[in-house]
Amino acid sequence: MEFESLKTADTIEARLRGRLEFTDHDRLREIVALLDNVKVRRFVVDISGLEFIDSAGLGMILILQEEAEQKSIQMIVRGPRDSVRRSIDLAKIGEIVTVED
Amino acid sequence: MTLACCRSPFAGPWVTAWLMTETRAFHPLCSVLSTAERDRILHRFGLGSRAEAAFKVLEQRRPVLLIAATERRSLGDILGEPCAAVVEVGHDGLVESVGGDWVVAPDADCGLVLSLTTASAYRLSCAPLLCEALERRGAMLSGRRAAIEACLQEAIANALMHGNLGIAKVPDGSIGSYQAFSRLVLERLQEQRRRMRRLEILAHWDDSRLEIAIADEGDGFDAARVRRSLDEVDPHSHSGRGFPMMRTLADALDVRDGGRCTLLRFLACP
Repeated sequence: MEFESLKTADTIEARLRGRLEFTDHDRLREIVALLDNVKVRRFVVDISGLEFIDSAGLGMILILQEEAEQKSIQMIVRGPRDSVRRSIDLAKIGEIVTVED
Repeated sequence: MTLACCRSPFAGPWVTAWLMTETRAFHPLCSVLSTAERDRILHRFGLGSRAEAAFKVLEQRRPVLLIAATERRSLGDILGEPCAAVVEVGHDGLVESVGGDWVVAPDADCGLVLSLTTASAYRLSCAPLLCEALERRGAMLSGRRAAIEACLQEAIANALMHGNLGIAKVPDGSIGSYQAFSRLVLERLQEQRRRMRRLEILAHWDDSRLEIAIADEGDGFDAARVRRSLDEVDPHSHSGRGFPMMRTLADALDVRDGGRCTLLRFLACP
């Protein structure tokens, strides 16, 4: 998985692409670090560029949600498609995380 | 290319094989397998008696390719070869390192085996590569690719992380505990005995079904203690969804060999 970040006045956005899978655990800290020392209201995780996510990747999304919550930042997962959308629905991640098309 | 002697992966007598620099055509001699060893392998993969004859077919029809540690693109190309099995021989390049715990495809025309060290399998993201190889061989069931790749990915992740690397559980705590988990994974990948453990994947198919077995060399686990459905998983939990997802997406799932082998079956859509 690769990602890039963008910051506006009240939002920080991480755009993920490729495959988010069990070998990406060491990248998670880099994404969490985007929330360090920033004063934003929203954290958008754009996954429209993800082609695959496994159950470990879904767990990472939940960790990001908890880290954002602890900093009183609203997290939104945006743009899941195809198999990524199906996996998110199957695991009922939408019950915990705000998911937007 | 040189002619060399190497030990059979079945830990039997020495056989002769052509060895090349990167890819080595290798024909195991089925006759070297003891009855006990063959029974153990058949039991491990749940193949039963229908695989008996296939042992003899294998050496006559398609080669087993022995490869050195390779890059992902190369493995994809190698899996595209008309072979019955691809076996990584280890970083030292010695065929002896293949070891004795090995299997063969049940049918050379409708089967494929991939045997990699943990170090390579972890690095190569082999679930999509295998799915592409299955598609090229006409083995992928129409409309099932996403489900098959998802299940294969979960089974491989379990085999590598919980099996061969011996990491019992992904932490369900803070990012700090997750970082500790990440360090543990990288440490275990440096341990020679763990990084050289094998991940073995066997696929076989016919017009109506595709069966895939994923085996590791870890300590196994008690399958009865694994959550059976996604409804049993706490939605907030960071882990524990792998087996329930496989049970949902596959037509059948069985765990054998004390938790060291996961069998997946997929049926063609009616």
